Amino acid sequence: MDRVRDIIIIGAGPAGLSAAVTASGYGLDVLVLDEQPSPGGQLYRNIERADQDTLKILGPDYSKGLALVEKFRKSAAEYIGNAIVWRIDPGSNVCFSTDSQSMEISGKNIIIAIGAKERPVPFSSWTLPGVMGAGAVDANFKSSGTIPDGPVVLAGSGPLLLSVVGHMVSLGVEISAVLDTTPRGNILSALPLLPGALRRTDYLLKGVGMLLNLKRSGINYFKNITDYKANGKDWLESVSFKTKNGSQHIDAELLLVHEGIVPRCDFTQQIGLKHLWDPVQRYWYPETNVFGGTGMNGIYVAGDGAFVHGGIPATFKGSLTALDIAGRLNALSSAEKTDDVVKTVKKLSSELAPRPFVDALYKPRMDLYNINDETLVCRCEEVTAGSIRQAILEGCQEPNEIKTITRCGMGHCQGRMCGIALAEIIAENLELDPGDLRPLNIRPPVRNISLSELSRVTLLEAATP
Amino acid sequence: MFKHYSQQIDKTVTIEFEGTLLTVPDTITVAAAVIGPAGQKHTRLSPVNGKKRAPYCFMGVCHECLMEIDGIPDQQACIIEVKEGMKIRRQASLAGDGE
Amino acid sequence: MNNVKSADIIIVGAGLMGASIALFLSRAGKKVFLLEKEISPCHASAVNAGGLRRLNRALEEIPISVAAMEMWPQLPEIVGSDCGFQPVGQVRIAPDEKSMALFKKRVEEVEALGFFHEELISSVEIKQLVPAYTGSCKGGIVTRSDGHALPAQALRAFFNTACSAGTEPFTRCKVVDISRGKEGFTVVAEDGRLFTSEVVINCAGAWGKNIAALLDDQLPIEPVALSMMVTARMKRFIHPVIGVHGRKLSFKQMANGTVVIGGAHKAFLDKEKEKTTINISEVKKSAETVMKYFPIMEKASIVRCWAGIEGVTSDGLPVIDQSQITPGLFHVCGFSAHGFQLSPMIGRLVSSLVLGKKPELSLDAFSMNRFNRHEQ
Repeated sequence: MDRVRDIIIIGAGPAGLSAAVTASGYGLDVLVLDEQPSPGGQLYRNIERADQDTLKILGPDYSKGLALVEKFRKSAAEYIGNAIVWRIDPGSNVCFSTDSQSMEISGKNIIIAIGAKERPVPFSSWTLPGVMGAGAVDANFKSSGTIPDGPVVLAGSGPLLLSVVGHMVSLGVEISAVLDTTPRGNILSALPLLPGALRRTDYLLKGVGMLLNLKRSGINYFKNITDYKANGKDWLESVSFKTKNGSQHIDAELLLVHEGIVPRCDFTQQIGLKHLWDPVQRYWYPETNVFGGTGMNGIYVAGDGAFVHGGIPATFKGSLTALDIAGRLNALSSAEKTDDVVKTVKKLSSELAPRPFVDALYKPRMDLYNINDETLVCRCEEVTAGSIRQAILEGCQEPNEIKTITRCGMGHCQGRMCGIALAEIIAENLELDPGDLRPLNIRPPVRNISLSELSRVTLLEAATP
Repeated sequence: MFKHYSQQIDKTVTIEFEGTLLTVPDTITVAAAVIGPAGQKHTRLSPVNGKKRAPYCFMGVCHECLMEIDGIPDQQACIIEVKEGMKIRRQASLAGDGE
Repeated sequence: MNNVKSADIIIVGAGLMGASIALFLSRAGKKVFLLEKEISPCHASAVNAGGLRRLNRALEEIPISVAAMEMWPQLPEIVGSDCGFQPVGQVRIAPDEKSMALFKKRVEEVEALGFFHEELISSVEIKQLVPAYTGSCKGGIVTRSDGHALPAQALRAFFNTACSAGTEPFTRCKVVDISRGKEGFTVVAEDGRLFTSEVVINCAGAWGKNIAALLDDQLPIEPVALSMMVTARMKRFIHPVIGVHGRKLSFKQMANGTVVIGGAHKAFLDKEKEKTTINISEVKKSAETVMKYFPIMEKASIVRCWAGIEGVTSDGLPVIDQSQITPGLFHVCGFSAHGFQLSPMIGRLVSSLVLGKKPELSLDAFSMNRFNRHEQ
């Protein structure tokens, strides 16, 4: 394997695949490292092995990926699956692990295309087995073909929640209730943004269709609910929540929650890029230009990892990144580049037309982080909101200082699950904006590896040509 | 917690979970096998307090699915597919081990 | 000029040394300002490996180190927190006869100074204390009441106690100029804030050289980034902190079961951005060393590597002295990656020094002019 490449792409979702197809189309030498066994990312996960039934259940949003993955497989780009990247250094070297063997390689350019994740929001007993992200059941069905066995409650807000409800219905999963936390007022603040969104009525109709299907399906659908929580001793037994008519209680085997989607900043934080705070969707994202360039030499971020726009926009963002690199490596003329960039930007902006409306409609609710003192914020190190507040009372202001004092964010996940909540709690207590805070550091190895593997890592200096 | 959707399974492998042999589709992830065909509700005990935990995200973020796979601890079971003969164990809690 | 703030003493740098000195000076009734360039105290004071070691200290530091060690168990009374202190001992292993001979000579030297905390022990006892060690061993030295503590907790406790004692902290307050006139010092922060005082104490750690240079003092202190790594929690297999002579290895299991591995492996440092980047080949070497001597660690998960920024002097000893050219300016920095243990005592000694009293222990070995002597 050639260990010095024109472009190393991390992640084989819509952005990574599209970047790989575009760049290799210009004759560039591309390597894609993917933690999954086959290309597709979260959206098109395992699509090469999907049967007709699966394609039908998951619908066109999923099956669209087939063409992209096919194009990628036909391209000259090299693909390594089951590859866990655990470090990028600012000099553009990448360390990754396959089969418990680690290796360092080097890219003239690196495209971080690791996409997004569901926003983790701590609530009472969210650590009980049986409480999961809504996207998790989709991921699990796509990868492994297993589905929830027993009554399910879905809770939260956002288009993905409705989409998962649709999938569960098609899969014949028993749904006890859907608890929608979207505040009534959101529609009012979103309305002024509707005209822009009307450029893409197809998307709006899809959203309306999902809602209508849900209402027609006869599922117990509760709107404007608050304070959902999980109950149980060793695992989930029931879900309670509040409506305007008072508290309710529903037995469930699984509680699937969804509170929106946020960028995965694992590597952008690890290499120390500057992150900005989005006040509407309330998350950090790395500062990038239209091509995903970061100001750090050769390091790009493409797709939802740069800002959450969804799968189709991610493909255009991936292409733009590839075009910029191809231009810089003189693989296409600047006239060709300008031409392609203009075309791609046009398509991208059409796709993004409904985004401000959707983002405002599904703006995180104000009480999202009303976390009681007993609730665990850091799942890895079992740190409660109360102990974080205690550290704040003792004068701590910085997420990273609270980490060193309380161990919040010091476990295996390195704050992926608690980082945003920690910042929101600090911001609320100190009456700051989370954007004033520095996000938690993520340190290499970004994924834990064994000491033995670290001692055996094949470094570039030792590489034989 | 989970069951197979399709009744028709093409290829299977045999894995060992906590000493018990189990036949599962060859394309399933370790975590999916544990909380699916293996009939378990949890994949790990919290090393801090011994409480039961199960996968939350199924996409490599939450690290709740860490298991010992073929003798190596702290493996992310949700992104690793089963292999013939694979040995899977839950990790013991370290609660009470501190000073 | 009504927004000029005045104090008796300004301390530049709210790391452990600054906070400790501030505490003792405030308790002595002085009005103290503690100026910190970050949002809250951090850097090496908060992210060092937390070792508390009298073992193998430079002879010059031993009296202070011994006195500091007596303070660590008393910290709940002094700063209201035990700072995570664990008196689990420190062990230094002699892998061969040659190093054991050096150890014997070393312990004699320490004892000749009247200190008996370093104890020579046999390889049999090493085996009992550190059963997980599988390298060669001809004996070693143990200091039974040394141990480790939690740096971030200690720093927060000292800082908060100093503030309750009357120290006024100013954070996000990067000092860009210091001048001395007839009335005393004027200290200028980057954002234009002005402070005046009779005394300035430079506790700027890795940046101590820059602060000193503002008043034309030359300190041979260089910022150095040293990397560490930490494992996931492991079943307890070791109590004392371990070092092996001639090997870049320092090794301890914290109370929560995680194992912290150090050994002075250098990381890359961007001095301007104050950003460290681990050097993967150094980290690999560190992993190899640990594997060789502690095979129990083979399957341990490495969760994090990081590097803190330390101020290291040319002779590895700190500077604790008053400026020769600017009376009232004191330098207390350059602890060369082993100041954590000394910090409670440094507060006591430096407060005496600043107040014009004779410090309980001599600070002569840490004078600034020792560097000039070396040059001549």
